[in-house]
Amino acid sequence: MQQPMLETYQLTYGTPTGRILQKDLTLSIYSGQLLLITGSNGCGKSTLLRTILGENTHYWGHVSINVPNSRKVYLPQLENTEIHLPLTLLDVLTISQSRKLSEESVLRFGLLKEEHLGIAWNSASGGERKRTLLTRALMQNPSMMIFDEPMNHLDRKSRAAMISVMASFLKEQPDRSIVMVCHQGLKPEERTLFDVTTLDLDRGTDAEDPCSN
Amino acid sequence: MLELISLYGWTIVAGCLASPTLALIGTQLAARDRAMQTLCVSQGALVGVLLGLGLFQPFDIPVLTSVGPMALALFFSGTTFLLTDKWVASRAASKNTLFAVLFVGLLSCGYLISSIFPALENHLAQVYFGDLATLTEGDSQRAIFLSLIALFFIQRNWMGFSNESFEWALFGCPPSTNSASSRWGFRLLSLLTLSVSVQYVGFLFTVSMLFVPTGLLSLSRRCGLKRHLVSSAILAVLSSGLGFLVSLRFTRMPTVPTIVAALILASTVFLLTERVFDDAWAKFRKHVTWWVDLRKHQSATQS
Repeated sequence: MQQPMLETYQLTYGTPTGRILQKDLTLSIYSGQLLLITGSNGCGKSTLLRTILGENTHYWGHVSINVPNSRKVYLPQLENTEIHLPLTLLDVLTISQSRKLSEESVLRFGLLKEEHLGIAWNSASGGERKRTLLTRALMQNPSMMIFDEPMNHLDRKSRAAMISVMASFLKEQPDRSIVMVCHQGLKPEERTLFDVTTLDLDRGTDAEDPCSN
Repeated sequence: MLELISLYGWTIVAGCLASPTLALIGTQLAARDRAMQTLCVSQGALVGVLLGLGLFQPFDIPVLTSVGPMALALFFSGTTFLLTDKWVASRAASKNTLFAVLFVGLLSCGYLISSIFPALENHLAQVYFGDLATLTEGDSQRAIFLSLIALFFIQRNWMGFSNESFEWALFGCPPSTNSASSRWGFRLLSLLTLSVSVQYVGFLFTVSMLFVPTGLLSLSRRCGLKRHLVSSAILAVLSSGLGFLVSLRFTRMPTVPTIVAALILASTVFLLTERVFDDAWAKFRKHVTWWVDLRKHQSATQS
């Protein structure tokens, strides 16, 4: 029998101040699947991700990720996007690999073009930054990617590019899965690209995607 | 002048090696938004140095008066670091205010220690404002040795450190894939360098070299990590050497404040030169493009 890549059993979690956000969550995600977490503001979507990652210790119940730390990539919401270091987008990718990169190795993911690489991180648009971060995540060849609101503030073209790359990521190799918090959910045409399990924290597991109507 | 240079040879080399080490560490600390925390940690090291001097100087054993203050500086800076790191980890909204409170507390503590041990009165000004000219040959050689080790470590790991800084700045947490040893590597390097630097070259030199080059160079219009790191290190070395030589030539000028003034001046000149050159280059490119377009238009009209 296939072992789940992520599993929770009767998980109850909350904030450090003791506010309970969700009770008795039970779910299993297998390789090839996308877990889509939706729900209203403050229902605990980001806290669930932090609980899964072991960063939030205010929980009861069982959580396990059967993926080693080095094969797991987490992209949180971008709170503070300006940085002191004058990095170019290519620098961001280079330092994540700790070695000099050829342009081809960066461009092969199809998210960035040659003219993007010299742009300063601090002057890049939100979409360019997210494409860079996704490229950076893919370069680490992860088994599990965990995203917190990756589609926020993206135009239609950037969103389509991100979705397409995520779908190829799951299809290329069997031992991969994605956990994604997405406030707006996925559009019907986007859902067809994935084997999706939706967790609406307002309603429960396998609820209808808010975008699919 | 040449005699003076040969007399202070080891000291000049010590200053020229300590400055890029501090500048490169400061770039990473600034990227992690740790400038205020670093001020507290440096002040903690200073309290340790003063206490060490006060406690061990009466014994008049050279090893004890050198190693004792360093060990206490490490203990105090380490404790300050662990305490302040909790505030950073909890993402306290008022963490900068807490840092200011701690800084003032440690500042008073330093002055209190110097009052308890009257022999420290002369040392207080020296530890704060530094005086490279009073460094002994042995101290200079120890500082050179430790700076070389730190520079080697930084050269080997600059990409990893920068990646960690990037993730701290962006996500507020260190890379999830980093091992504990890798996470602690930079912290230990900074703590050791800060403690040794405060003891040998003083608080002012340490803090200036940490944040002046990277702070002023962040105003540059150009981008590129390697360029920023190399420029910060070169400016730190040049101003250390230049400032020290100026203070040797004009004996009324204190060494460290002269070095700091040279650093600010050199960084400003560097930025202005770069800006003038960039503007001139942009104008030149604009003219060339206009001329090429004109020629194309003329040849198209003729044909």
